[in-house]
Formats: sequence, C-alpha cells, structure tokens
Amino acid sequence: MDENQFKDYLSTFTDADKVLSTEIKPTIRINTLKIPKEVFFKTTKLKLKPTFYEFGFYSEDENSSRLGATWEYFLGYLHTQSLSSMLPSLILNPKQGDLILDAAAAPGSKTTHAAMLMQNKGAILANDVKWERASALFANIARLGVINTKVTVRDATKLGILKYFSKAFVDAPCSSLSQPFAYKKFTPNLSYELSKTQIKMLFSAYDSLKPGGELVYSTCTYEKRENEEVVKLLLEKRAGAKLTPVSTELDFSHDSGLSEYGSEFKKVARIYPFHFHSEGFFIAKIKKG
Amino acid sequence: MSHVTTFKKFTEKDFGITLPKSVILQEHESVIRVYSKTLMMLKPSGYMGFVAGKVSTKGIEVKSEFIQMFGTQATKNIIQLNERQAKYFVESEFVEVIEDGVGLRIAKLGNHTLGIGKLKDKKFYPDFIGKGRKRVENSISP
Repeated sequence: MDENQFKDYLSTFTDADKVLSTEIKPTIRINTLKIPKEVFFKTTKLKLKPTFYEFGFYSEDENSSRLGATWEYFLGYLHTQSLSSMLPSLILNPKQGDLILDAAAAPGSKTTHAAMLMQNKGAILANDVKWERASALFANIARLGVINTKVTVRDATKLGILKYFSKAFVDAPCSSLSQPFAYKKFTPNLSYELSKTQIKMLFSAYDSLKPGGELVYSTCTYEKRENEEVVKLLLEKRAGAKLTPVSTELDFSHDSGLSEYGSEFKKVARIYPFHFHSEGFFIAKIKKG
Repeated sequence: MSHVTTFKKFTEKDFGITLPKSVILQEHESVIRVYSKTLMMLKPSGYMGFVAGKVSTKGIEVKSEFIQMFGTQATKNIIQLNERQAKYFVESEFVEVIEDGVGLRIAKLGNHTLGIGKLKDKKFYPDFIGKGRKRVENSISP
C-alpha cells in the first residue's frame, strides 16, 4: 500500500486523518519489582506525566528516544513500553495464584508486566518461537528482576498442552499496521499468511486453558482479518468460548470492534493513536466455558 | 558441598545476603538460576527465573542482576562509586578506587545497587553487563 491507499483503507473504519496526525508519546512503566513508586519519584530526574494507569507515565524529556540509556533503565526501575501494550496485562488481570501462558512472549513486556502485577508469585510460562528473540526476553527478565517465569522456545501454533493454564496471552505476530510505515510492506497475502499462524496460535493457547480460564488476544494491527476474523473463528469452532468485556477498573478510551461482526464485538477494544497518544492495538478477552 | 550451597554460603558470608524463603537457587546447565518457589507449580520444562551466578573450578561468579535484586540489603564488601566511576563501571571498564583487598565487591551509587565486580590492586573490574545495558547518559539522584 502507498500512503493514499493506507488512508483510504483506514477511512473504511476510523478517522484516518486523526490516526495519521496524532503524535505518539513515549511511555514508561515503573517496575515495582525493583523499586516502590514513591521511592522512584524521590530519585528520578526524568520528566514524567501521569496516564490513566498508575504505573504508566508519558516521558516528556527531550531525549525520550534515549530512555533505554538511563540509570533508571539500567537498574530495572523502568521499562520502556507503549501504553497500549500495558493494557493486555491489565485486562488479563493476573493474580498471585495464577498459572499463565504467554504464547509469544519476546521481548517480554507483557510477561514482565504480569510478573510485576503478581509480585513474582504464581507462575508464567513465557514462550517464543525463536532463540534470537528469546535472548531479549532473558535480558529483560533479569534486568527487571522477574523470578516467577519459565522461558521456553517452542512453536506456539502447536503447544500440545491441554487444560493446564488459568490465563493466557496471545500477542500474535501481525502486519503491524499501527507501526510507522508498516503499510508499505502490507499486502493482503501477507495478512492472510499471518492470520493462518494467528489462528493456530489462538486455538493452541485456548486449548491449553483450564475450563473457566481466560485469554487475552492482541495485535498491533488494524487489519480485521488478523483481529475480529481470528477471534470470530475461535468463537465458532470452540463451544463455550465467549467474549468478555475488555473494560477494567481503568477508564481508558477506545473504540469497539467492527460492527459488521455483530454486537458481541462491542466487548473488544480497537485502540487508535488519538485515544491516548499510543500505538494502535486490538484487544479481545475470551473466557473458556 | 553442592555448587548451590557453596554459592549461597558465599553470598551470605561475604555480603551478608539472606535470600527470602520464597526464593530457590538451582543449578541447571552449569549455571545457578534463581527463581520463585511458586514457579515449581509449572510443569513444562524451561529456563527458570534468571542466572544468579556460577561455581566452577575457576571460582565463584556472581551476576550483577542477582546482586541488583537481592544485594540491596548487603552489609559487607561494598564499594561506593561516584557517578563518573559508575558510568565506567556499567560500560564494563575498570575504575580506580581507594579500597584495598582482593575479591568480589558490590558496587553502589548512593542507595542504588549497580552490580558486582572484582577488586584487585585498587582496581575494580565489573562483571560483564549485556550490550544493551551499557549506555548510561541520563542521571538519577544518588
């Protein structure tokens, strides 16, 4: 797609001008596994502005692109993470007794966030398909002081684990249309191929859940074939699978899923940059019957 | 004595580190990993927690990440660095210090626990710190 085609594409479901003109603000997450929030603010010199999430902050430093080169980052006091990508963990709402699967974990933002919410209790299986990607996962786990996580390197489309986890993340590989200039590489065929992988990952993770378990499916693309279509297929093929509202105690603005998929998809979230100056995301929460 | 016991006794005796009862050390593929007891609930095999160090014929190695997490209450063998020295330290370069002695020491910048290094001839050599973590420009109040 070129820029005009991308604009036309976006216009079929949202305000393309607003999506393309909204500034994406860099954000950090304070890592309470390493430092209490009050102590962090007594020591840091970073210019930070609150968001709707108590541990998520906009960075207002001129050198925000260099957040990874700060003492705070080195010491594991913070993690650079988009505000949108903090939502899957908040929506999954991990508890200290949970057994959690993160099917596509690298580089570990959601895994380490879930570990923080669990205060290093419970257990997380953080999986990724490639060793090269897992090395970033290992580094973030160590830097952020995460000790309730086991890392595996397996193909998440065929995990072969049944009725085991209480909760799961599937942050699927996608066409990343919310990322700058990703539309240039986008083709319907690419999206089709990705959706095949996404479907297999979602089914595999869903089957690994115990009855009553919950799963959060997310992508950073706007493409319905990789979002609503994937979730719809699971709802059709797995009796008992139900969407549950993504709303949490947090008050974050978002759009519902595309109306062409029915009222049930009001329960999922489409996040566009104009909602809170963060990257676009699709998030659905599914409960296993 | 097992490598894990050697490692635990060393960190207790040399640094005064007492690990919480909720934490386990285990040797796996010749390194010692640290993880939460609750992780035992998870049956599929994999890499538990993160690497705390290593015990081999070459001696005892302690990783900076382990010290950052569990060495904040250490009572012994601590070297206070100033900000200039600390920047060298995290860039994996040795710094000249006034302390005498030989052996592993914990590096601190004010209240912040940076990691671990080896002291010898008044030179303090840092534990290797991963590539992605070497650049430190912005400052924090020590």
